[in-house]
Amino acid sequence: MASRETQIEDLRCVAATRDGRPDAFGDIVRRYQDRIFNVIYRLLGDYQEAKDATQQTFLKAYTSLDRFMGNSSFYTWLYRIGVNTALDERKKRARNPHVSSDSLPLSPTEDSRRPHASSGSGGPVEQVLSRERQLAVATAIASLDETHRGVLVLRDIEGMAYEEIAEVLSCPRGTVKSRLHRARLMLKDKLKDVMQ
Amino acid sequence: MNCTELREHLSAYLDGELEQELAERVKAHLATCGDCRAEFESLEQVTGLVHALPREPAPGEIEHEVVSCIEEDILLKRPGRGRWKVIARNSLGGLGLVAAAVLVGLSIWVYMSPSEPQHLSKDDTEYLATREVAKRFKAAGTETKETGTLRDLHDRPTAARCKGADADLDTKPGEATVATRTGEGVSEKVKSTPGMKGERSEEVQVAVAKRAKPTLGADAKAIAATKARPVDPRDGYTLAGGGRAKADVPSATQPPAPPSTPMSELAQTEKKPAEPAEPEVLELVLAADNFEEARERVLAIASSLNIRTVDTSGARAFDIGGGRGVARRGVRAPAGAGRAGPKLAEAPKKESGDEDDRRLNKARKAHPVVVLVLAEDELPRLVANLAAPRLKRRAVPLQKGGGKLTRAGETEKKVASLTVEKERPTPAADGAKTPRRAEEAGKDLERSARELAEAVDVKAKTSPAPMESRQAKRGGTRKGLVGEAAAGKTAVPPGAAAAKSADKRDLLEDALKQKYAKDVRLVYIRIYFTPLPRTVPAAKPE
Repeated sequence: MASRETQIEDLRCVAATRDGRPDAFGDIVRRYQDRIFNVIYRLLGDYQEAKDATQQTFLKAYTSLDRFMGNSSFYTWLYRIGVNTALDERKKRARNPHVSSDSLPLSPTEDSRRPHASSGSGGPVEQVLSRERQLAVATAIASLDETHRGVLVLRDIEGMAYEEIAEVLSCPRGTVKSRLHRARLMLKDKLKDVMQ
Repeated sequence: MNCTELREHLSAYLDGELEQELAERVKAHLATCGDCRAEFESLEQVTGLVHALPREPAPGEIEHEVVSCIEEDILLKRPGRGRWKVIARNSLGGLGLVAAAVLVGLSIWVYMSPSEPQHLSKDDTEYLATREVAKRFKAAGTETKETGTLRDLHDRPTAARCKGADADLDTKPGEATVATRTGEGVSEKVKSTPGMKGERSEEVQVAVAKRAKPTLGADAKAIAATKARPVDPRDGYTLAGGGRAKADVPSATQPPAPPSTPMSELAQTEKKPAEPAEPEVLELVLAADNFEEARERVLAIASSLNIRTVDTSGARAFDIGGGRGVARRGVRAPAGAGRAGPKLAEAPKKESGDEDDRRLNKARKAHPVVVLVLAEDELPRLVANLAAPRLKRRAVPLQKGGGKLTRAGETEKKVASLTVEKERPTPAADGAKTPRRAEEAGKDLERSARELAEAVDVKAKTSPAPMESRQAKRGGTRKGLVGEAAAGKTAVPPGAAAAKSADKRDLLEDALKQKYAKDVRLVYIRIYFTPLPRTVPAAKPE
């Protein structure tokens, strides 16, 4: 997914950060924050929690930078931290439901404050339908169990290859393949009303 | 392969992740089996729906928050080891020229003088005395009679070292002594104060030199030559030596100095800790009536200078389990915070050291901290801007006679003389007809301080100083500026103000170009805010 140049640049930033230059880590954050946030947001389904978890992801990555040995790509290492952080957040939320916000995806009002949420094409009716569809899909993804949701998000939202997903989730490629298929079947079942 | 087995591969086939042979078999089966083809199309549809979800861009503050936390972590980690810490306390707003000039002088001095160790060995004393003697030789051209602790050194065979030190000073005549000049300005001021203890001043100076001892190069020269301030618990300024001298911070920008005999010996005898990632940390405690206003002013100044700020006033806390957390751990009291600085002629505060310490610690815990991250070269500019009085919105034409505004203190006079020399009188701005009011005086002062800052900036850019004496260069720039102004020369070219934005751009470009270059040193300045003590008299221009 990441080009070779990007990976080299990642390693350069990692080295610079280890050398005591936090601005180099700022480059890493800038490069990956959108993707990491998007993945975590789809895993958690809550905008604010996703923001906090994204920050924690980068901070954990920073504190664990000494343990990054370069055996895997930096970005898959970063995604692994992000996914684990999101899963931890969900567990924390499950333990303390009164502390966290609603586990369901963002409400339409929340969604409306982000202008990119609508496609912009078509009339108002089409836009409303499109938004309803997106909300239903996001809700369906959020309702999947964590193992299937992780695979689905990494593949269908983040566009990772199976090998990379296996690296992120620390599981065999075959597991990724079967989980993904099952996740899509579950999603299809949940979205049958939308698909008709 | 039956339909059930084949459908297990449909997702992978859809993603193009099947082996070629298996993919061809699935393709052939889909061409013949309607149910499987319907299943495949439904999977395609589901995948399309997920793909159609909008990508959520990350909130803009994530990067800022993360980098801020990291920088906070860098500033706060390893609390027990001590860092090079300096605390200068002053009123930010409304104290007028006295506070401004003193803060400029002290801040720069404080930057050049890392710490104050308390115990000295004979060798240290000798070395320092040698420095002092060499400096006096150079300044006066005659033999100097040492007093106090220096007298002990007189009996020692220090002639060779004197020579060496003198030669060191001679190598950088205009640059290596700027810091010295600044420090001397402070020291002279102190000496003129009744009750000042000259011997103690010498002792502190020895202490400073001891901290500078392991350093090679211009840093050592500048620091060793810098006069230290005496200790007076009643002073409103506090210098805190955190145990880690700035000289200990290795830097790629400070190449080894030409070997002078005492330096080489001392460098060989003392172990030099090597911590490449250790940043320089300056601490500045600003007294203000309104913390928020003062904080915003600091942020505005930093913004105007393209200095990155890490505003830690927000309630951020990330609980990262395991390892060294980046979570804010509170501001620890810096080592040596209770130590008092010099008694200055205009020192407004009369608190004891303990009260001072207690109040400072309380302020640190209760009030926000602003961290500025800037390149080392930008420090003089920042200090000059911080020292400038609050800006008024109303524009005032330039007026002649800024020297009238100054009250006491050599530094203030220098600033005033700079103003006189630099300002061009305009017919409409003849201040002699009407008496100058306090407001106008304040504005002249702030203009002076700004011009001083600009002049420092321009001078720094125009003077091709060698890299081995960056600190000396900084000090030398200031010295040269004041000296030229006093001699009737113009320190700032006429178009300097107009070219300020261009200079900023250049600086920014340089900073970007050298982003990862080793010779860019970041300096962290932590700014605390503390209430103005009630005993502070308002500085009134005469």
